[in-house]
Amino acid sequence: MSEVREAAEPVAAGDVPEEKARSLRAETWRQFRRHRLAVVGLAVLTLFTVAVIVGPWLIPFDPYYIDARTANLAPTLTHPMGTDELGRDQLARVLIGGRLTLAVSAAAVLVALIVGVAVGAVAGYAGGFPDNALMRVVDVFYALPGLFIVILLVALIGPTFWTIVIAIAVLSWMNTARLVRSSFLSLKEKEFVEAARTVGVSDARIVLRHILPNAFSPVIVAATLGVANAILIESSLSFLGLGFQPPEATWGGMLSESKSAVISLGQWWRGLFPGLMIFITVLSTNFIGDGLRDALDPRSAGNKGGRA
Amino acid sequence: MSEGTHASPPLLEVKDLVRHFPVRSSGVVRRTIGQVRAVDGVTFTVHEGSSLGLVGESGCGKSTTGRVITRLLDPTSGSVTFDGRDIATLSQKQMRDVRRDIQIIFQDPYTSLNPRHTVGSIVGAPLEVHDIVPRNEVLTRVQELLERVGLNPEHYNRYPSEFSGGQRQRIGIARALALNPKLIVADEPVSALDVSIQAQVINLMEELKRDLGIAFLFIAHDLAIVRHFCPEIAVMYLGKIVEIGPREWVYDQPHHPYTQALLSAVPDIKQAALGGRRGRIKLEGDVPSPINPPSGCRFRTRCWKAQDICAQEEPPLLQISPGHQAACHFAEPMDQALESAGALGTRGTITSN
Repeated sequence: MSEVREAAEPVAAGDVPEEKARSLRAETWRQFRRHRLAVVGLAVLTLFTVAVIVGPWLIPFDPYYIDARTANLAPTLTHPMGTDELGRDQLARVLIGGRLTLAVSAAAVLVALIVGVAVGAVAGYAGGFPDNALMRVVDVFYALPGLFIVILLVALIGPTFWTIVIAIAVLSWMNTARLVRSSFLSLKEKEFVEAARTVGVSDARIVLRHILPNAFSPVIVAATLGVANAILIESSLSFLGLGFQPPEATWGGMLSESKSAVISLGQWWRGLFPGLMIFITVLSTNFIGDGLRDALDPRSAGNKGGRA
Repeated sequence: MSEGTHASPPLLEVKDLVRHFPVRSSGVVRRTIGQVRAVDGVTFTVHEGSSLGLVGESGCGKSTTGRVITRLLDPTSGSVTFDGRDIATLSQKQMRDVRRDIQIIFQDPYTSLNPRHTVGSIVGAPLEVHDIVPRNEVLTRVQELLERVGLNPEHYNRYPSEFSGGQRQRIGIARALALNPKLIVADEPVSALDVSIQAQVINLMEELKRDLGIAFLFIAHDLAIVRHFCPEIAVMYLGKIVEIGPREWVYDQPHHPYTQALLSAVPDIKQAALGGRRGRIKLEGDVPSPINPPSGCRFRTRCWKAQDICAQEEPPLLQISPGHQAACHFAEPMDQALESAGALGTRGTITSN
């Protein structure tokens, strides 16, 4: 006994360097900042968001005001993105349309996230029959001819904000469900979950407080990439005439309206600017997603969670 | 050294405990095609404030035993009597009260702490779940506990990743202590740590045992550590206890050939320093599959003493001396065993080192 006791004195208590004592969030942000393109993407997306919120008040044109005198103008200093065949200022429409496009995408991703996380968490944590049943539902949704369902939905209920949000969410929640389920499957076997159980923590609390925070990194990445996907779905809906109806503007809708003007009249500015907005936004969110994935992945982020 | 092992009343009585895991066929209809007999009839007692060491190779069912006792797993059959109450059949809801008294320390300090919770919320969680102290006193209590296990109480808002392995294990111990348990199941608490850190953690647990009167079920594969910590030892092989008794008996007068083989494999510095030579029994072959264990005595496939009777009849735990039992048809003291292993040396070979 005594030979062991002698070695026991140097109890390591205060030897954690102060500068290491930063939170996980700060560490993640530090990792994220190292990803140049992600930072650029975040800056661009922030700029766009601010622009579509305050922009329409700052420019002197009404996006819905029809004026035959200014129809079909190529870009000038007064109309930097030109005008359409009804004489509406394109910049004003791009800004007001961005509001809808971004809002619909964000809402759709949020709905998809909530449904996907709920389904995935229940399936992964419960296992057995509930898991099997829920995953078959996921398979069914994957197998559904997406666009057909959306067309049906929009045709039956009409193209309101929430129909379109639901339509996009219905097409995109399954990825999140699968991701969350697989994270839960491995996390629920971890000893810290067993520890919570021996302490007497309830199942609901284990799921919400102990497992979910650890399962969230892939979900956040998927959600970011989902925003890009949602913008594209909304654009294709509008392009097919199933999105928001005129005179409402969205980027996809403007692109759709510009088809004949670009092709037969050569009015390149009609298609270029809304298309460019979609392109840049999708690219930015993808970069942000990449950056987040690198920052949240414990293998790439220093000693977070892993063995030092 | 010797603490009167039976002076205190029994705290945990495990009787004929069985835990099987079904093996299912893959495919659409998942039929049960076999059972992994992880724990197959285990009986032992842990007395209040004392500790029992459960030793065996990996896969022998010792960790499963620990998990069944803490009801992280449900037993297939058998009884677990804790403080006079059979907890083997309690529902998870009824277990909540019992959980205050039985806590567990895990093997791996890296996976047993939630990487996204601060030390304060890890150690404080038990207090909040069971409303041990008012909300505004949780922090004070957490700091007391951190200090008790030798950590800086000001580090409560740090994350586990900021601590070393030994410190993390201390956090795990603080969490187990939070509820003032009567029994702690320590599932290989030091095997993931460096040897120098192992001693510190063992000493901490020794202090807790002494100062707080906590009983331990100490699960380990390391005979030396168990010897230091536990006045009573049980040796497991393939889901069964093959030898059990006070440490003086099990270590100095082992009677089961498996215990003898294990002990002869422990390097003995004292003996080497004295220039002494000691026989070493080398076991051959692997542990058989617990899905299909050998008939009769489970150790017979690797035993140098095995006779026909060993395949036909399962040896019961027989008393060697008061409190000391071994399950072998040919139980004999160590020196004779070394001799017989050398003489018959077909399955077991004896070498001098």
